[in-house]
Amino acid sequence: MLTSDEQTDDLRRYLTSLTEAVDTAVSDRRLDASGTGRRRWPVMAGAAAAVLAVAALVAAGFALGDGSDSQPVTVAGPDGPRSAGELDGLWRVVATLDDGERQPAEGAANLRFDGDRVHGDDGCNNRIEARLEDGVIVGPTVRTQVACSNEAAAEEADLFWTALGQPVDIRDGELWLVDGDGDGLVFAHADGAATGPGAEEPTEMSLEEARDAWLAGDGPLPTNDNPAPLLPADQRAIWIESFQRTADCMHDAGFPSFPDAPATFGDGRTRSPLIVVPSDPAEHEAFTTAMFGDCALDTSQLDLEIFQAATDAAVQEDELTDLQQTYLDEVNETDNEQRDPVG
Amino acid sequence: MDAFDELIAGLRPGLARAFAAAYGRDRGEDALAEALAWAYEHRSRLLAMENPGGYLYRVGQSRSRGRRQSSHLFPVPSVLGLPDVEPGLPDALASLSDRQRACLALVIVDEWTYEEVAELLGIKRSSVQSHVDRALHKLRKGLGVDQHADV
Repeated sequence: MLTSDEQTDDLRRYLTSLTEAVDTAVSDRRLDASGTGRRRWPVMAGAAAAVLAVAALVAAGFALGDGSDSQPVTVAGPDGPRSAGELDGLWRVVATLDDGERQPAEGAANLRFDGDRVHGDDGCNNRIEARLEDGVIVGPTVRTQVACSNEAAAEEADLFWTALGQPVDIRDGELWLVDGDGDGLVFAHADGAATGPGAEEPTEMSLEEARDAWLAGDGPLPTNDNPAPLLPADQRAIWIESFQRTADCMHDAGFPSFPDAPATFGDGRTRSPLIVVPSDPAEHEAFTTAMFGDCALDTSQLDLEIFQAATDAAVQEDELTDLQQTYLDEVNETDNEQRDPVG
Repeated sequence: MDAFDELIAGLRPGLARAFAAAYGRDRGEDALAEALAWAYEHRSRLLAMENPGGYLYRVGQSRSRGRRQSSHLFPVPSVLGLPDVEPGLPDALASLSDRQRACLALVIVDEWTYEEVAELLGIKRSSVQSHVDRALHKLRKGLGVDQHADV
């Protein structure tokens, strides 16, 4: 392989066939009105329910997407599995690993451990929301934005998603996510405190102080390279606000919001950000076109704008729980009706 | 054929090659479909871009992220109708990073210049060269061939 023309030709023929398979599959997809091979929104493929509570899923830490995104991450260190509390706080990427070669990171990938909850961002506004259960992080991915224009951030985002499926190691106070080829990311605690035996744990107050200082104008505006010091509640507020906006847009486009789960948050609006996904194939196609077309949120400075709008009335934990339970109740009810339409 | 159709006709082969090589069959299919769907929904915006191919690549890359983690991303050659191809090739390719595969495919298979690949993938020329070098090294290592042989 790759030592003769014949071996190089093997590579050429294999990749050409693979490319043709991909290209043909896309061409064969059902065409929508614009003539593209638009794929159906994958969340419906395995969903028994005809109703999807988009924002509640995100706010409560459920999946937005095809529901098959869970990437288990084993949390282990030199002394074996670590408890969730040992990892608490914000970890920011400090280095990339390519074939084991360590280079300073330039992007903004981060992970925040908050008890058994794990929030993350690949630096290109693709987020995860997950839980730590029995030493394993199991969580869906949440995609919020479109593209990452910065090369370094894009490469680090690739490594972020590659590394998520790998065991989490703590080495010399750093959090390592690295695969068997030595590709991955190294995170350091945002407060500079090492974790592990004898290490001083950052306090929640320190984060709150940093956040308050930032809100008071003492800190720089958030960027990919310098994200704002947000509390988990802030992040959830941002997500709810962002999906409230999407729901508003979808509502205006003629797709009804979830009727029985009103909630008040963000700027005080009471219409729920929950969106009804039509089960009719034709309507569903129009739904996906609107959802990912006109109603897709734009990228520039969105987080900052949404943060400023949302944090005036931060979402409370009990409200999220109510939304989550409402969604689950509705889904269960719909499932039961479909399984037993008479009873 | 209008300007947009011409643009897409020119970009599609490279995007298909890059996505297929980077992400394999399933996610590559998703990435290409997402990129083209975005393109058709944002025609005027795309036509005004300096590097529409690079933007579409990042759109497909971002919108397909986290989806379809199939165990058969790189099918055995016989599945693709290539029974006489080196059988260890799929596994060797799977050992490369997404970007290494994309650069390898475009440079070695399609004979694009480093500059052309850098523009499409939105990375530096030197990065392309580095990815190709590392990809070749990994392939040779993975397939147990002469480390000092040239392509």
